[in-house]
Amino acid sequence: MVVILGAGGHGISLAYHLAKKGVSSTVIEMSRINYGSSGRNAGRFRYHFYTRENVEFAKEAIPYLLKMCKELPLNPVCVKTGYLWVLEDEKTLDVIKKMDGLWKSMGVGGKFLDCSEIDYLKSESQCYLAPQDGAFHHDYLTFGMYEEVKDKITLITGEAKELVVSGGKVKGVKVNGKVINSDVVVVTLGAWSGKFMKENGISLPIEPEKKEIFITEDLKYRVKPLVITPKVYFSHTLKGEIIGGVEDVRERGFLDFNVSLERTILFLRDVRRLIKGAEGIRVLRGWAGYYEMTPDHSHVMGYSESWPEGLFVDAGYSGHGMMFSPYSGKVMADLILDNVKSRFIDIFSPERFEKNRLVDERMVI
Amino acid sequence: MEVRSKRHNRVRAPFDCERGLPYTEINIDGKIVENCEPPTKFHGLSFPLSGMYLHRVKLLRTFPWLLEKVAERMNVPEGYSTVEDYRVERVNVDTLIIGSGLSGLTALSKSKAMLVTNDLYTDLFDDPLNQGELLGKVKDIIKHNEGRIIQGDFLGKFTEGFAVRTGKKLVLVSPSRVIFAVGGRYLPPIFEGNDYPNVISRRLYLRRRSAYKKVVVLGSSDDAIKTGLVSGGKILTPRGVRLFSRRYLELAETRGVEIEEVDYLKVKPRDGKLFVEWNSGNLLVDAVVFAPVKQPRLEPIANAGCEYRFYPNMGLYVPEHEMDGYMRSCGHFVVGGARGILDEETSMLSGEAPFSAEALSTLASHLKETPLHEYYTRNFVSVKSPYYYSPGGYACFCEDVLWSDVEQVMKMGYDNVELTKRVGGIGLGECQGKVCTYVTGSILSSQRLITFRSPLYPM
Repeated sequence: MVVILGAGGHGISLAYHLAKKGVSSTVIEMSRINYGSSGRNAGRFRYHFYTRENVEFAKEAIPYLLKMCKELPLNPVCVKTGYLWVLEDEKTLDVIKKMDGLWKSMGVGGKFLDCSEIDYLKSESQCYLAPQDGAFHHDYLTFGMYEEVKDKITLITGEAKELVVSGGKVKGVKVNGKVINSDVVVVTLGAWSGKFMKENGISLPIEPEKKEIFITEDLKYRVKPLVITPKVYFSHTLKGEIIGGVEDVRERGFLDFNVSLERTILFLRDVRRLIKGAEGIRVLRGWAGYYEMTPDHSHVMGYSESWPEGLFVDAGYSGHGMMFSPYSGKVMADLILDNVKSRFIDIFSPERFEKNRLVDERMVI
Repeated sequence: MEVRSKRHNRVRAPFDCERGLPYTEINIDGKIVENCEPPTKFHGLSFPLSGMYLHRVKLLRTFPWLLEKVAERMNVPEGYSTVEDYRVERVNVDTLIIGSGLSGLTALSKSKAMLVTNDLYTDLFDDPLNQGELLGKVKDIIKHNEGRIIQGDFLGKFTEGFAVRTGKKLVLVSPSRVIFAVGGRYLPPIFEGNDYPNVISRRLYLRRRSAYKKVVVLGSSDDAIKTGLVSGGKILTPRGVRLFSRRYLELAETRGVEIEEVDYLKVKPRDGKLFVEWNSGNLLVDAVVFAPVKQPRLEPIANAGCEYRFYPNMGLYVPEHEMDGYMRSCGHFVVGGARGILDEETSMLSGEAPFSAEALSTLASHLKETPLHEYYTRNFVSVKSPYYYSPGGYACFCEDVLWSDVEQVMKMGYDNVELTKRVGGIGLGECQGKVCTYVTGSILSSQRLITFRSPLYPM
């Protein structure tokens, strides 16, 4: 019996992979499937990270995502669109130049080009196109996994508060005042993971950082890749909207889910400035969500020797979690059921923060 | 003026000219213009394919780029011409009234508040049953308080405060209280053919009355009877849904307005008119006019953090409020049609109720006579939805989501509005769910709608 806390992409993926191995699970969710960051992201996948470890993880995880996209009962609409960096300042240009070497050596090289060669962009800067990356639909992905195995999942609405531990072993979790017994509890609470652990006396450095995303009215499909400038990022959806956000760092914490007029205007200004034909386009809506930030901006998967036996975590993806959810669920299911320890369980272990083996990921988009 | 719909290439025209509703703005060579012109064309070649094919057609998994080809062929604007940037300024306002119907204007006349409205000349001005004294009163209030009326759009809550757009200016305000006088709207019910031009709201009908000789009225509330009285048209109501007051039923009988309960309804264009067919009859009409119930415009209210609930007795959503209009969840007030009130006198009383104990007690006794009464006594009884005539037609006009697609998603077990949005794609189009979420929610008896996000109008 496995209890999973949180019905986002990672929780549902784990439930899916457990079910594929014939094991039913109970998923505890305080709101609804994909309520948190899983339902609030821009739905993009990439191989292009700052650290070798994350590129290596992506090289397993992204093909796995693409394979799932072909099989699930709902179509997660995975499309290779590329990522396009508009290198408007020296700093980003230097970073990408340095990264290009690493990426080439790992078989995921992109190419430099003049932005003026790109017909929908109004920019004279240098650009860098990473053609391997792409887009997908976050809700169809999670609900697609859920659809496939929903008769093997018990979904309980409520907030998991208290971890029940006895003799150094996990015995269950308390939800709505009732204990749900289980000797395995997996924390896939995204931005809420650090909070839950802290309330149970365990330090896990995952903190929420509020982000905002906006969507514009429809424009004939042209901006295929995710365009990344030093200030904003944006891309077309297949429905015709321009989706994107502002790149900034703000205080950590569970800030309100409202959006700021300031960021709405910043986003709109750059979309109008950079996309040909979007000079007077308007924003239809914005929403907010949390990046689940770790100190090194890489995720946490597995367990710590210092934790009660039977407690696992898969969280802290720092803005790139949705694309990894199918593969992470598989890695976690292999670990929990078959004791098969992927090399990534060591690399992304929660123990790395104490042992100072950080995976210093600097490309948070 | 008619346009072609985004995905199915359907001929469509606005069913109501309220700002923000489907097809009320069109993009002509990059310029956005308001559209409330009557249609001249009624149907054409269209492709009403189920959106569920996205999931079922295997070819789309093998060749996902086909979807990019589909995207390139959708009926969406090629471009948007340069517009001036907004200027942002902050203004101090203590009380802000949003909306200028009877209740909003009454509240204005009883207070020192500022009022913001995007349509000063509301339905009242077009209703032949309401000319004379009442209209004179309204004009008087407008004339005497002009300095406190701002023409603009309430864009909703942002981190920095509430935003109001007036011209090219965005005004940020943080009033200590807001009085929501945003009124209600008539939304198109579900039946085959519900998206054809000239299937219109009571509101648009009143505005264009002279253009339509013969009409049929769809609805279950007193507003449907009022429309019948004005137009002479027959009223069709879904079997088992009767929200008429005794007073209006008697009026209908003495004036010879026919009311028929139906189990099935279908509308088809024929020779520039609409052919309406139901289980026991048919008619060729110039327009099909709907007034199922008057759904409060909840988006600005919910956006401001005020709670609402599904009121099953009428199949609509109302903000949670007390008799004087106070909304405990957010500390603001709601008056008039925005709290579900239909008739003019009661609406005026509700505008006065936050300021006068006398008005409040008269209001309470007035409301006892209406189907809203059980909201205050908390005596909730489920009725069949006033929006459901028979299966078919469109759930969402902006994104061309068929009602049958919503039904399929419901069969998969996704039985509330939020999940029908996430899995079935309603509530995600140009109008941002101002239509389909209420209609779908009412039929599903969904307790919640979607999150109505800022800005409330394209910005």
